Amino acid sequence: MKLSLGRIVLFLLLCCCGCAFSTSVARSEPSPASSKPPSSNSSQQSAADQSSDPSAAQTYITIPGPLRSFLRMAAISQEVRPEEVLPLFGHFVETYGYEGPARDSGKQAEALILFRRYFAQAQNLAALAGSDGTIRFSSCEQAKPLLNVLGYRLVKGCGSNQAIHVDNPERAFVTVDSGFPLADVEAALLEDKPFSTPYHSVRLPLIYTERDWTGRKNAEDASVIDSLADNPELARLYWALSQMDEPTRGVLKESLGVKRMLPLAPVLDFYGSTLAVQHGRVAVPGGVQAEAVWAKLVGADPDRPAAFLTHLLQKDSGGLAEYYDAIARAPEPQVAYLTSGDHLRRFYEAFHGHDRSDDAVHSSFRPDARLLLLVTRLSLDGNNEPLVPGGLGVWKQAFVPRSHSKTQREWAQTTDRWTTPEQALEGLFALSRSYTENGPLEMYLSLTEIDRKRPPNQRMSAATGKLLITHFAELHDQYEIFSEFAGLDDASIAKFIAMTQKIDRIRDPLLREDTMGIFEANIGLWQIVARQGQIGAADLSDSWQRMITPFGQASASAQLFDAARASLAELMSAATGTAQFPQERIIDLLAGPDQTTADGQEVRGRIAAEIAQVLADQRLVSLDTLFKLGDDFNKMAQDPKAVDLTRDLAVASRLQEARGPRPMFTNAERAEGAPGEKPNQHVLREMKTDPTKLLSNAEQSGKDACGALTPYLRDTLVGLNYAYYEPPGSQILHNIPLLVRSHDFLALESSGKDQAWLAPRLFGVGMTAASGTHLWGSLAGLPFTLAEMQQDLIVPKNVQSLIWQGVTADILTGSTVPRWWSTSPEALHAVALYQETGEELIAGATKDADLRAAVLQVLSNQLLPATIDSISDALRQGHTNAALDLVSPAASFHLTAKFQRQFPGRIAAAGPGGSELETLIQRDPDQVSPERLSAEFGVPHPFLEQSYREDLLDVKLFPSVMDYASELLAESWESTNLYWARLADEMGYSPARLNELAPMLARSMVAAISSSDFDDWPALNRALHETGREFQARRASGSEVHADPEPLSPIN
Amino acid sequence: MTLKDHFHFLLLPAAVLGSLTYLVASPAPQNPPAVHVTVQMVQLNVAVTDRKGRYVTALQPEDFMVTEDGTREQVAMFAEGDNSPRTIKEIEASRTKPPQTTVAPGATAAPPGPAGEGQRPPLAAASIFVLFDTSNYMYRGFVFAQDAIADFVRSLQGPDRVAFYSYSRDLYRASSLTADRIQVLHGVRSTVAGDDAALYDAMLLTLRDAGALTGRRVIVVFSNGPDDASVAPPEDVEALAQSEGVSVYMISTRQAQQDPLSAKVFGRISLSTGGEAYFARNWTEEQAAFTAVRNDLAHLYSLYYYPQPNPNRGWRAITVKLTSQGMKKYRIRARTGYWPLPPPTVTEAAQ
Repeated sequence: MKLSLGRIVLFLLLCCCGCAFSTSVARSEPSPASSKPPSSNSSQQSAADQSSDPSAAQTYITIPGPLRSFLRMAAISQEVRPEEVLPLFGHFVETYGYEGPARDSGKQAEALILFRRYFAQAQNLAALAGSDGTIRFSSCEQAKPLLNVLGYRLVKGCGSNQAIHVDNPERAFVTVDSGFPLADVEAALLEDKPFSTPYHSVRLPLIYTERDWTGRKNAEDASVIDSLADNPELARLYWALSQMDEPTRGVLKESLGVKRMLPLAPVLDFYGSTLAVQHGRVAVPGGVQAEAVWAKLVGADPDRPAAFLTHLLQKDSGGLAEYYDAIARAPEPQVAYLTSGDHLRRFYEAFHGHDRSDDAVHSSFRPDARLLLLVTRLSLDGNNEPLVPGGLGVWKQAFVPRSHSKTQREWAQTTDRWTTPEQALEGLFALSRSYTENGPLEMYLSLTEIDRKRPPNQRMSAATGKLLITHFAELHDQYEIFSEFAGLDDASIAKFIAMTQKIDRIRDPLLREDTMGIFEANIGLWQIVARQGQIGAADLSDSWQRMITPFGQASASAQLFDAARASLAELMSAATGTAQFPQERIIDLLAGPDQTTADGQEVRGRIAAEIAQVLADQRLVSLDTLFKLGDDFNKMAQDPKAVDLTRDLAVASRLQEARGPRPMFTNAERAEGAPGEKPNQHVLREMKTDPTKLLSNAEQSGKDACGALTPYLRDTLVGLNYAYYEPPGSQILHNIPLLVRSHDFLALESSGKDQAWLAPRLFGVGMTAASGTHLWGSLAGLPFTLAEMQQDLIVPKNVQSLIWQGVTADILTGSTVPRWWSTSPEALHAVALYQETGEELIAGATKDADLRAAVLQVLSNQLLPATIDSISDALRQGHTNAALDLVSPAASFHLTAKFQRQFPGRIAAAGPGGSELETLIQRDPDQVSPERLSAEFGVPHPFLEQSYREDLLDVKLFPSVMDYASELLAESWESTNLYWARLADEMGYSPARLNELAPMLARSMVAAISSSDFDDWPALNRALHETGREFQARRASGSEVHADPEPLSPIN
Repeated sequence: MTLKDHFHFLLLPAAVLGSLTYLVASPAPQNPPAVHVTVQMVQLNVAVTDRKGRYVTALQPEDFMVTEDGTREQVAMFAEGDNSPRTIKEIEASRTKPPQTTVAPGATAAPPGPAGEGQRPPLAAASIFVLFDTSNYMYRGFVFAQDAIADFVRSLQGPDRVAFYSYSRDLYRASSLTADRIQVLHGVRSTVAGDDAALYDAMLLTLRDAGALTGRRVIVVFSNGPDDASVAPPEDVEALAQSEGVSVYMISTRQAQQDPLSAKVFGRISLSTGGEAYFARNWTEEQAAFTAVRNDLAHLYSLYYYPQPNPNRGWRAITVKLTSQGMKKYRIRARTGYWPLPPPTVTEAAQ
């Protein structure tokens, strides 16, 4: 199951995760020194396995029946740790138990009703199991009581046919849904054999005591479950507390108690996880230096944790807690800036303004991410001043008085008085809490990403800033290419925008759409070859402008045909030095730069073949065919006899192959089944093309006849973009043959309004009578949208896995965009060593208190307090693997990089990996620098960075938030390519092989994800390592693995 | 493209286009074979019934006339029911034509052919994919439907292999293709209900699995409601089923029939692929529908032919008729055509 928080699909959760009664993987704890990755931190001990490890101070409760069934019925992943079970149950109750109007009425939703039915059945089955915890029967007669509890009966009674059928559907449903081994019962009856199955109860750790949650002194274990199930706010509080570290929970209990904390449950749920009490004082963002300003803002000193936390949580209906949380999640330089001087107060006053609403907590999901994005992506210049792209004047104009937002209107009155960047930033803080579509904050985030990578002497001009802002509403998604390529100068930006305006003025909608499609397709091809390094950095602007220029001459279809060809010639000339471009050469170019190794050539050849296969399956006419016909049409204008019409007719007949499957519905049925949906005029035009007439027209009109070929040329050029970004294991591009041709560039036919230049969106999902799902909008953001489209066609490993849509699409995108053609084996090895060294440091921290403190301090820049607390506990107890389970590959990488920066040379003592890495650093520091490796093995951040550039941002994990769902979480996790690279290095693959491995492994990883909530990044870690283990095992066994339908393909 | 004097045929394990694909290649063993021409063997599942719906059995290859785009095709291989397909030469060599008979729906399968069960070549056993709707639509009738499917699986006789998949928003391969009925029953009883219904996506993925196999392949879909989450349109699913030569049987409940559009899709996909659609009003009718599918599987004729040269790379219409005037009264059900899939792209590196 893949869900989207962006769409707020509150699904009817009738069932839960994981395979029924699946086998748990037990793990033995190796010695700290033996932490040999990548598999060392990957084997996840199941909750059931760990549940028998109580500590003296911990309170436990016992629940009836196997944990697996409880987890299934409460929509919790089978792979969670015991201490996660009750918090996730609380989260389940709060999120799904009372969803919709039922929350207000107190009426339980179906998911919770089913859970309660299960819980009652589990108590009955536990009674049947008796003291030895085993349910058994040895005869048909003995089976009847069990069948009665399960809701089944024998079809014909005890005798010859002892098959079973449903007797009580409600009981039967929870029997199946909870994963009771009904098939074993059935098989035993059919084969007249004895049956037995263990049915043990399980103990689970509890936060605080039973009395805290039930209000009763001698509460039974089950009553804790009942209390949480009965009260969604109490359940929410339990979940919220679980996200905090132990000392902070203790302070809150002592200062407030559960009863007084209850009204604060929403604040704690959204913003509590960044609160931390250490050594008797609150560890505020900015550290000791910032305590005074926080004390002033909150109204209590951090060294009085109870008072400080109480004030913070209660102030401004959670508004201050939201602000505190955002700053606590920001990177160190930004925190230092925001907590310096009087910034903290000024920005909070701007942020909070006159608002007295409870927007910070009133919804079921955390408010949108703009405050988080603002503080995280805030760019500071050399003077430690906020970067203001284009200068302050640009932003004075951006705050236009005419706005739907009252806040913006108010701030627009103040712009005349602005003299410093801080004042503009105050305005942006104010807007971060007031939703404005395409407002100044969105503009600032976008333009900052463009400007931050430019050298100081090439910052964006005021004119360019103004131009970008003027066209922001209709073009903002196109700006990602300027964020990706800092080498595109202001003139390149201006030329692009001017061309879009010219295209928008084309009156004929079909011609305008063809122009948009070809223009964007060629830009997309330029983007690919530029990213692959096939266009030199110094030539970016020149090649860009030369590629765009020909479109200025296109005002009819035939001219567009020529313009497309001329533009392509410029692109090929920039990338290859020659303007020749047979289709095979273009495909080769896209497949990657020329390779010198046999391995690289093989991989490149396979990628080229896959691109060609997509073009074939999409029934796209080859460029060679189109240009041959175009040439002949031109010749006809000069001398009709110079052309072999018979041969041309045969060639032109290939245009008919572009016709799709036969329509299933009549027009009337389609109108009734998909009201409002208009037929795609582009596709209809191609369906009607008659090659004979085309040639006849060519004889008469010569060169102008080329215009009839233009739609096909558009399709093929667009198809090359689709094929390059084909998601791993793609079904859509091979089995939906009209997908490329149905792309609605005008976005009018599908959306009803003009969103032509914006990122593509899916249209037609789940619409039986529509002409099939297709994309509308531009090609900007195509990789992510194709991944979105493909994700539900990846078959999960588990019977039902909660996989969040944003996460899935982001992981797939992260594997399709980056390529590793120019990566050196040394870089591949170095990135593996960075991760290995990070784990060695963690392993060493079990025995060395000083090292432990240093490691935890570095990790705290990335991880939240509760995670740091858990890692600290594990390290103190010598449990290396338990600590490693909480550290992602990216966190390991950053740990090593920062440790090396803070303590130069000390990584050599961490272990063999650290020693080897230190040698590599000494030998060639640039080649193995974290910055270089980030650019090689990072992931694209289309939402966080508004760019498809590969990078590692080293930010704290983002929570799931409205609008962005889990995309930001996935982008801030950034571990996939690091881990795939390490796998490749340790298994002896070349960097070139990573171009195949990464997509394949990403697909397998998605299939393996089994998460329990929106922020479940440990589930990503588990799926990552599970995929790695499986891949290693298959390689070790030498068994053949197949690309389809199984995700892992043969790599030997 | 050159055709050599001597050819050898290499049977691809994954037949493209739902038919058997043979590569005609150079015989020289020392050189990698260059692909010269692809000949696709087309397989048809054909049901012949009389006016009362009784199966007409014991028909012979010459009783059928197959045309593709109006051109008569020569049947190359033939089988009835669970029998192994044989070449026409093999059939003629052992010719003793039995009298034509009819078998009522629900009766046992036609008598086995000469190949013993133990010596069946891989083509003989059918591959049956059961696709079960576990979306939110199925919530109320979920456990009853499981019973019906369990009964269907238990009732399947012979060597046919069964896979059990479930779908909601995603496909789940609960039990891969196996002759072990208990394993399949475990799959049936392990399914859980919930989420949106992406029926056509699930069918597409199932067709891809079925398309990788040879021999008779059918998909039996149990659906309880309209699709509301697929990216794949039903047209493409239908085209793929036809191209792969997979017959689709749709069993739906009354709830599905309340959506006229879905009912039409179910009827059209099953009709055009040689399958059948059933709309059950209650649990008893669901069981009856599964019984009907089981009987159909036991009485299908399998016809194989190599298409005559045909430049048409678009939709190719197939018609199947009975040659004898006396048989015109019988009803024939078979796929109505196919859309040739593009051949796999072969590069130097791939070769």
